[in-house]
Amino acid sequence: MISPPSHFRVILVEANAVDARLLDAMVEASRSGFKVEWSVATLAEALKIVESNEADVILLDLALPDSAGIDTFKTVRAHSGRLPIIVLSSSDDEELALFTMHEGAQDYLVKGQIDSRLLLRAMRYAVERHRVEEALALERNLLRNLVDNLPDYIYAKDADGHYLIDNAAHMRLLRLGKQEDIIGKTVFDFFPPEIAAQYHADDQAIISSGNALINREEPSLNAAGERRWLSTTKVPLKDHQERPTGLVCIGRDITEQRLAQEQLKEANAELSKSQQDLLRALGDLKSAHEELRSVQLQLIEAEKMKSIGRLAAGVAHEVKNPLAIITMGVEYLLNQELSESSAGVLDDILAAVKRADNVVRGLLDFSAPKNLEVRTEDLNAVINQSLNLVRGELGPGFKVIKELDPNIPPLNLDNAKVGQVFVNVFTNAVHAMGSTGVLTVRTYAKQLTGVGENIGDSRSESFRVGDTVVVAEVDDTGSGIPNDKLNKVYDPFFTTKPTGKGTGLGLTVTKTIIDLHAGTIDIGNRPEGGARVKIMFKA
Amino acid sequence: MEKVRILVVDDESGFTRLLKLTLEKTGNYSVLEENDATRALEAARGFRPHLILLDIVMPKIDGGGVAQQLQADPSLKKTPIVFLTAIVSPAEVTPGALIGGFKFLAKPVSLAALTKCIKENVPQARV
Ligand SMILES: Nc1ncnc2c1ncn2[C@@H]1O[C@H](COP(=O)(O)OP(=O)(O)OP(=O)(O)O)[C@@H](O)[C@H]1O
Ligand SMILES: [Mg+2]
Repeated sequence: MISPPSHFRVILVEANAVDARLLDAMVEASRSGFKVEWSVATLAEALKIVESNEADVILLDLALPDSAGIDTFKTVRAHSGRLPIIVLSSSDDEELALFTMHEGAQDYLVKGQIDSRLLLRAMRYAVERHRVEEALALERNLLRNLVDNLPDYIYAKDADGHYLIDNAAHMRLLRLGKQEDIIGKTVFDFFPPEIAAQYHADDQAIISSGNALINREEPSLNAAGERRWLSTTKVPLKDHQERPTGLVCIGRDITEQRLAQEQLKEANAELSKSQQDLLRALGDLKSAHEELRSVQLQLIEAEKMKSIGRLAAGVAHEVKNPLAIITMGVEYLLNQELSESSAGVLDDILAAVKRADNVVRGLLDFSAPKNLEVRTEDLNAVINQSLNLVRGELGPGFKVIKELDPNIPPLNLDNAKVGQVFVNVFTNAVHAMGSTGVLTVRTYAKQLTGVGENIGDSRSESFRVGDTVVVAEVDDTGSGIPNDKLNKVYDPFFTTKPTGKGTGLGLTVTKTIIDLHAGTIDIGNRPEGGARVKIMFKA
Repeated sequence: MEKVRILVVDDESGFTRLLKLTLEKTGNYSVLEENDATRALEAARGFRPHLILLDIVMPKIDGGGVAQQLQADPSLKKTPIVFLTAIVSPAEVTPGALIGGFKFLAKPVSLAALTKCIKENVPQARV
């Protein structure tokens, strides 16, 4: 590795040999770190050394045998790059020397007036200035490079809107090739008048208010006249006295971004719309399904009743034929010579057949119970009758509480059928309680007001607000009914009882009879435990 | 005195046998049983009954079909037909109701109800 020379190397270009020696001696004597490395008398020699690019400073006499005046300077300048040049001029030629300063000379010295101190200072300054300029140029290049390599549009304007600086990206946007194409011009040179006016007004607002504009998204046109979206940041520039001098602007093309955003937004909107459609369709589907379900339930219910009807009719036919044979047989025997006791036995048989026949008719009744024998009755009396019928079922562990309101209005009902209703309900209560418990039977009348708790009672199609209804409540202290079974209890053959004890038809018949009377029946669980059956008839 | 002739058409042979025994025991009736409904017309033509008792639910052909055949025969056109049925319908409990335009009796039927019905439909039976 070649270590850098420990001194600054000087080229001395001087045609006058005396002057040359004198200057060399001055430099030498100064012991200042400068050394005349090359001492030449012609331009040609000078250029050779300059081009070797090893010197730090040139002392250049303009009057040479092969070149004179400003040409000497220009030629050297052209070949020396940034090498600092100190011009040596004769006293009658100071004018020319000054002119070289304009052309880039670092300094000039007038021959005959040079002393070593002056020479040294000139060289020092030249080298130092050169170093600083190099550093500045480097920095400027770096910044310029930086600014030109950024994809954002960057430019600065003065207070009147003239472009001061412009980076490569912005020039490309405006389809301009050289800085000179834009520097000193304004937006009015590049944009349609209205848009330019708008830009200019914006700029002036920022400059006069001193408030920066950060990332404002705005529509713009490129040189091809295409619409683009820009995100613009404009910052006012101020001098050290805080006076506005212009602004610097950074713009970014966000057209693609906007487009993507808009597409996203559209896609989102579409998505949420199709989601809503989906939800609506789902809702429709759900309600259709519910409708279908309820229709299906009704159908099942109707189908069940029909099949029970068929079953009952079939059973009736099969049972009635043997009953007919028995009857005929007994009739035949009754016409023989008989002992009185035999005749009695045959009468008993006939009575039994009659009872069996009634049972069969009853079975048919519930599948097609169209005939009510309606009379004006006292519901309390009907209830008492039914209670007497189930007395046999009530062991010593049971208590019956009657809260029958004697003032309830009389009702039009089929005594036998409503009696059957209460027998069924009482029997269920007794079965649910096992061997001990309290059975409470309550009757009362009330007028439906349509408010408060009465609302539930007026839901039936049979009742209207203002109607007087007679209510019968049967409370027990038994097991109650699991909630998921509550709507099943009216189903034919729904039973939780062992075979032989329950057929599951009791409440089915009960419900049918109540419906025939245009009444309502409700079975629920009491908070205290046990079940409550609530039956209502319109007074 | 001429006995009242009754034709009973019913697939239940036990029933027809006891009906025949019971009615004939009274001395006023002559009963012909027919357990095969398809032969009812033939039996009626030969027997020339005063009254025909017809079951409704029978195999092969039901009481309604038999009644049509009988009514289509000019010699039997005026012979009264009474249905005897184990089918229960609202008509059963309604006094004076008819099934398909015919009188009917519901099984099981008592002797009293049966003779009352015969007397209502056969003038000779009343004496
Ligand atoms: N008071 C009650 N407490 C508890 N469960 C009850 C009550 N009433 C009815 N149930 C339930 O409802 C089911 C159906 O009652 P339902 O009267 O229709 O038939 P069942 O009593 O079982 O038979 P049956 O045809 O002999 O009356 C009963 O098996 C029982 O599980
Ligand atoms: Mg029951």
